Amino acid sequence: MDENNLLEIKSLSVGFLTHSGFLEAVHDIHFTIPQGKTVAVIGESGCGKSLTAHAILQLLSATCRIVRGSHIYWKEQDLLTLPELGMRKIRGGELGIIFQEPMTSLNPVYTIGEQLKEAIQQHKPCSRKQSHIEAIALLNAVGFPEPALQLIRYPHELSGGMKQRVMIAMALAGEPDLLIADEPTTALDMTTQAQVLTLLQSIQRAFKMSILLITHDFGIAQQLADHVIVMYAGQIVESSSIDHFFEKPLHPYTQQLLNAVPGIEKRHHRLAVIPGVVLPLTEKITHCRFAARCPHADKICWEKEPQWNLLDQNQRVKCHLYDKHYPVKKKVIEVSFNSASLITKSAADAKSLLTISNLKIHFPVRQGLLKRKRSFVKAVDGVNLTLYEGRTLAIVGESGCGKTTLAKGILRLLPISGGGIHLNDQDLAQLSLRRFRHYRQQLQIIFQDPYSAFNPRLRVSDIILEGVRTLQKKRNLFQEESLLQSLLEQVGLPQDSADRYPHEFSGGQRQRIGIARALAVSPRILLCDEPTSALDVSIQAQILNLLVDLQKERNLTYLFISHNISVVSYLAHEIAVMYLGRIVEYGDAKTLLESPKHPYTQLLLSAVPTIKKPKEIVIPVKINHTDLPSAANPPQGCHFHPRCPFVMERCKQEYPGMVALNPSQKVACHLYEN
Amino acid sequence: MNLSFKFVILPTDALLWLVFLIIMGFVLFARGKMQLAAHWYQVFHRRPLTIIAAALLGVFLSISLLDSIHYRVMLPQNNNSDPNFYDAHISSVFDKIVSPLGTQTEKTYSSPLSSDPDLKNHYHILGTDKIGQDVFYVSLKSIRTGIVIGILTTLVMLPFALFLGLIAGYFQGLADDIIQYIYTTLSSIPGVLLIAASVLSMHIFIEKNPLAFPNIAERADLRLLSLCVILGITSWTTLCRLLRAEALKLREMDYVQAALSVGVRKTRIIFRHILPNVMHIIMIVIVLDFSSLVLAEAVLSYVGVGVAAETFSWGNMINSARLELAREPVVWWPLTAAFLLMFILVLSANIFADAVRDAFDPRLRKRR
Amino acid sequence: MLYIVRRIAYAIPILIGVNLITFALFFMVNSPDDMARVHLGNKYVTEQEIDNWKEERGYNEPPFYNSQSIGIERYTHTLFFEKSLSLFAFEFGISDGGRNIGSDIKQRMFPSLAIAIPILLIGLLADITVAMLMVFFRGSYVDTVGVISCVVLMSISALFYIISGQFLIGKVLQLVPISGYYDSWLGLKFVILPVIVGILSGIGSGARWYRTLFLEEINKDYVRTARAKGLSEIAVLYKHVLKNALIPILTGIVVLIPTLFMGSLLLESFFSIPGLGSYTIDAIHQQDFAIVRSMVFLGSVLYILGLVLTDIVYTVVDPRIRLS
Repeated sequence: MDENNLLEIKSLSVGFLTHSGFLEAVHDIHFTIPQGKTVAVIGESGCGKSLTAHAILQLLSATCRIVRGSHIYWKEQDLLTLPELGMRKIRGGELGIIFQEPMTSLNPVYTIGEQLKEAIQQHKPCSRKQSHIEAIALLNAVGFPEPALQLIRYPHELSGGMKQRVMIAMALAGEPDLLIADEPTTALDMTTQAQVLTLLQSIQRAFKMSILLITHDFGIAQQLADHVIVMYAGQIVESSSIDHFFEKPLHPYTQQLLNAVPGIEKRHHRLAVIPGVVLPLTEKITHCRFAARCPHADKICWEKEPQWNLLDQNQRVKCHLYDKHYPVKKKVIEVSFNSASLITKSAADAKSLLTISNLKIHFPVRQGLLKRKRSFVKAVDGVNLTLYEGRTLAIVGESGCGKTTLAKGILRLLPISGGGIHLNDQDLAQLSLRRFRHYRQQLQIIFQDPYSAFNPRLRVSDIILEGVRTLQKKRNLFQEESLLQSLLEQVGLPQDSADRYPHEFSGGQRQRIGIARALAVSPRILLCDEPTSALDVSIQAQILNLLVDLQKERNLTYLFISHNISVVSYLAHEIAVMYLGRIVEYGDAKTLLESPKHPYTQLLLSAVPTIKKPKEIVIPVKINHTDLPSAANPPQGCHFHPRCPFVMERCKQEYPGMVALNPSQKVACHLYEN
Repeated sequence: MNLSFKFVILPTDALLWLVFLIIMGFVLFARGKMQLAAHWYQVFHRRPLTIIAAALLGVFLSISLLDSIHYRVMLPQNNNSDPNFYDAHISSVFDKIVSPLGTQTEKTYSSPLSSDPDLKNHYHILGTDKIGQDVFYVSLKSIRTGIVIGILTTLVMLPFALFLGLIAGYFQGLADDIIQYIYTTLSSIPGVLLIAASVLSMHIFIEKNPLAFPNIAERADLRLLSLCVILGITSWTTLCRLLRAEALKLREMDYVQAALSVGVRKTRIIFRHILPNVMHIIMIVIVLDFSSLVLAEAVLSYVGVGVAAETFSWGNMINSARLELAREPVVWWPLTAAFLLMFILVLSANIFADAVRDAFDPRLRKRR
Repeated sequence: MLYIVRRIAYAIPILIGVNLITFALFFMVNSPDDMARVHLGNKYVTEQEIDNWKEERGYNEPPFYNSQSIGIERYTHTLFFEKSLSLFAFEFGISDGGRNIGSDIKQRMFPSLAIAIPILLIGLLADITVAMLMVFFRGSYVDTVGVISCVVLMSISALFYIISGQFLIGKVLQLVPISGYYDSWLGLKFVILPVIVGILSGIGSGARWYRTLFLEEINKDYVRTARAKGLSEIAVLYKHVLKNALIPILTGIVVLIPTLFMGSLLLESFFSIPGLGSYTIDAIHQQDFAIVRSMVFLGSVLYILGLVLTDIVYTVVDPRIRLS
């Protein structure tokens, strides 16, 4: 064993006991983590990356089993032979871990001080006073403002980012040599994510530890990792140093996955799609696990499992393409450049279809003895937007900015407090709900969560046709049937889907059902509420391609709500940036992304870890205050001023008006007012 | 046609059979629906204990159904002008099946399987009670009372809980406030006392109008039915509260929003999107309540607000037998028989309820 | 503070509702005449006897409006005011049997508490211990056997526990007296058996319910965090799981605390304990409506008090809920 290696995993296999047998979710993996380095394990959901992390600490659920013959060497000691008592000393001590969900990972009934001190005392017995001092020092190390005052706070009083900082502090309490970070920022907002990632970088340097980073995001890996491991269907398929990895990805899966990531540079292309699904892991597999989905698959791929091919010191791949003994030819993959690019018309010739003017959605807050309306949460507070026919307007913002409320308000699923929604010449906001029913058909919505979007007791055919049946006076079974078949075909679902129930479909397929349901009533406008944020990258690419195709075929207008900048930059024609219920910047997608004007937009864009960025990114905008204020109590003046690096006296007094910088860009910021 | 008997349909007979037919209808319906069938498959799959429990429940249910077909036999000295053309005593098909049991009486107590020469040459596997009735027969006849209370109470309670719970949860606002007020008020009154007060009032009512219920059996049956009604009215609040909470959650689900966005009307949303998705809660609560109702019957009989003294019931058996423990030698068999049968029924129901809960919703927390 | 005031204010309409329901039940469904007949024997009762019976007990007034009185007395000299509204002032009046209900209640609530409090406290401890044991050995045969025993225990009628307890311990083994009560520490021997029976009859459903609560908590993320710190399984269970699960347990119990005064109908009656439970059951047997009416109202008041207490306890034990 290499002296420098802290952790060495040797032929580790982990699985679950299920009704249909033993499911080997991790199969025979090997890797090492050198001292002081960061190793990222990348893969889509279900590839076994989190299970690997939990197996190292033996934090497995009751139905999990580590297969005999597996070894996890920690400083030359096999953890799997260690009794539970010994393991407890290492767990939380030399080996720390942070989890994906900071919201639920802290005990709600203890203060963060109590939880921190517990972690401290577990590994070095010390007096209460000592542990108190230590706790303050730890909070200080993870960037808590006024740590001494924060110790008595309960987890629910902190924001997600702050909770994740507490988690990191707790992991640091045992002075770990290795920190396992299991999707540490997946549940966080973009700006928070950037902060946590920077924090991880800085504490790694300060504490001189190694990090095992579990992630699905190439950008995060690019930012933090020294070495990347790609997992697919329970196996490691590629292992490579960070520089080689992004320069020259080897495995067809990695290549396809990288091509499936949307971005501004791919605006005129279709995204790469990996066909098919991951094979079931309950059976014994003797061939390449990716063969069925691989564009280069040959006979040998179906006969023999590929061995490791060492390309150079730092790059290994498990694929027959790189095996000199087998004649697998690499096929040229055609990246289908779409003849018609996304941008068909310029905004100038486009016809405006839906105009939202000064739209307000305020929720009353009831207080006092008689529960009278005392104040309002201004979730949407005076939004002006125009949707052009056949084009996509994206609304970008962090959670809680009011973007979903806006969509539901446009559909009149929430009561509107003021303003207008003009469809052609009709003000939809003025209509009674009864009369609005006639216009519902024109506006449809696709939801974020593919699991709660369908009534589990209805068949797909009933789900898709519900709208048509409601709108029609008389049912025409023949028409319904032909409509159903054409919709299923359009969204790419098998014809026999109609008689099945939603739970029989995967997340991506469900999102297709959702699209079919929305299209069934032939709407002109489709509101897409983060339709891909619950999906894996490869599935996301499929859905985005489908949305692009449908827009062209049907001349659909999209209002696309997202927090994902790369998705938006791929899809949108216009972008509006939303912050605490108001639009702070609006513009043509290209212009806005290339020269963001509002400090918040700049912050958002710089916070996105992308593959193309240089390694050591420094966030250009330093945030003064870390927490996103709540919409119930927005700051006086410009809502962004407490976080703004360019804050002026004027920003604290009055909210800036919208200024048109050029025909295709508007911004609400005092910096640009003259 | 000249039948030698005349059917007598007591109210609880009719309702019990009605419920049975509804359940059978539901079973046929569920067979067609793949999803429901899959849940029920899960209830029994690899659970021998549940299958035994379900079989026992089936036996109990069959007995009570057979015991719910009543008739009066034609008297031998028949004379068409005689109003008492038929025997005043009402018997059931079940009596006929176990026929000698009900009529083989002794003078007084006899111990189980006794072959005392004083007995009239009958064996009584569980002995006889104070007035010489076969204990085994009495405890079998009591099954019907237990099942009727367990099932008919649910029948009374269900419409209240379902209707009010869904309305409160879905429409909110004033309707919600009123419904919440009603069930908080009702549930704040101690259950046993509310039942006792209602039953006492009803007793007085029946006693005040003796002419309306000439037949002892009919009067006893009416008391049984009204006990079910009172239990139903006092016990709908728990289910109502659960359904309200669930409807509150479901109305925010994306699929309800999707239905609204294509213009589906609210009543239709309740029937199509909300109701089918609370069925599992109703299912689980019904099965869980059944066993507690069977147990409650015995307690209420002891308190003196249970079924009529003439009705065969475990509560009455226990109530009359508990003092017999003080006798020398101890008369233990009537008490044991009643407790044993009640235990078997309740245990089967509990095991069955567990399986139903696991299959339909493993997350739903067990209520107390 | 405002929150508590609102909770108490909310209780008033509920109590009025309870009051109306009981009034309707006791005076509208059956008139005082009917009650008189029941008490005097159904048949062969003269009108005069009925009037006398009503006169003695103050039932000879119209329900809501007295046209024979003057001024405010038109409303106060009515059944509703004197028999129902007076309950709000805790004036329970005289029972149909001629006893002062208020002083009876004061006297009888202590024996009730002597039984109910030990059952609650020791029972809670026993339930939690058994549930914790099952959770600690979850998945093993200890757990399975425990769950099955719980289901069996909860399928047994409470009457069986009482009768068999009295028979076995009281009569056959003669360890403690079968029934009775003595109002001092010497009375301890009378209390032991009902307490044991009370705990035993509740342990099945109680322990099983707590087990579900614990298991629900044990799958949460924060438990994984606690394990990741290197805590032992026992520390995880007692420090982290128990404290979270105690929130629903405690709040579930607080509702019951005020109603402990009401006593247990069955236990007190079987063990001849002169508490409010046996008082109530005797009243039901004797069809003494005045007592039943008072107990219904008292029970409701105590229950609502329990609800208010629950809300307060919630804000104390659960840091996520603060008075606001």
